Amino acid sequence: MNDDRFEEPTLPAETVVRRLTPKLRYAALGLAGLTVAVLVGTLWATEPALPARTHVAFGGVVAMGLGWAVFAAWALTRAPLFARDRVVAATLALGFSAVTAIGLAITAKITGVAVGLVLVAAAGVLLVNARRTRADLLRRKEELENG
Amino acid sequence: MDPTALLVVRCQLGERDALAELVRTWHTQLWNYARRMAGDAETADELTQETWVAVLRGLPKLREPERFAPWLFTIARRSLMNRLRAQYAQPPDEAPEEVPEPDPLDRIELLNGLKGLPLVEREVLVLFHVHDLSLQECAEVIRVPAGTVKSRLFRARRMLREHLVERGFHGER
Repeated sequence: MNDDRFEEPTLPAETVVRRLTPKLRYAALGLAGLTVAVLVGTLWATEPALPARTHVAFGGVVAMGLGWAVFAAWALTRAPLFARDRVVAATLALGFSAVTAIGLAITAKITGVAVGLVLVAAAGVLLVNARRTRADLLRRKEELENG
Repeated sequence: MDPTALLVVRCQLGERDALAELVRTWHTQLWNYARRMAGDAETADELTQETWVAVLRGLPKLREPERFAPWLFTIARRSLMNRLRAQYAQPPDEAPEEVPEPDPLDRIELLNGLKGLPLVEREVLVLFHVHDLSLQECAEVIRVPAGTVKSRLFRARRMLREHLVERGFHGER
């Protein structure tokens, strides 16, 4: 900025730009981790008479899936998703929840179907909201460009 | 057309290049605000970085893109207050009084004298005279009535002149 009021910052703008890039991949990672944790957790809870080492293995996989989901949630609180990313993330959530619903239906029968349907419905609501927000912003952008 | 408002909406949509452009447009102003308030470049770097992270976090929820500038300085000020709470806590707040409209201040005078002023007076001069915020926008950033901003400006300018005279600086006026 060529202005005698302002000194050149010692922290360059480009450094800030690099650090600020929103991370859509965290949303995908979190959803994948959650899906694995739910599916394996359901299998673990519904399978009768498992050997001890299988309990340990299932527990490990569930913990890892939840760990990734928690990490992704933390990362997203620092750099939230903007409208376009929210639409992509909600579409991914719909896909992952459909996979989870099918997995639950196979492993946990009636209860699984009900839980699966709730997940799919929640993801559907997220997608509708995300698309509406994006449409509002596109309209606003057009107004500003033409006004 | 308000170029910053358009940039903000494009950021909210998720256009990566708009976010980079928004940072490039406002970074120098933001850093200089932090530098003048905090006093050293290292703290200004940290404050600026903190402010941009908070801006990124809050940007999707910013309802009025036209209000970006006061919103940005409000966030920066919050970070600053967390660091300099003791200095901000010192002065008793004054009741709004009848003061004349602020008149133009010699820029060299201003930039030379800022460092010698207490934080509260320096802040109002920086926002109004260096960053060209309106009285209303200053009031929004500092969270005081516009009348209080006017009286602080009046007092700050008097203190600035006294300070410059003590230092032997003689401007035009």
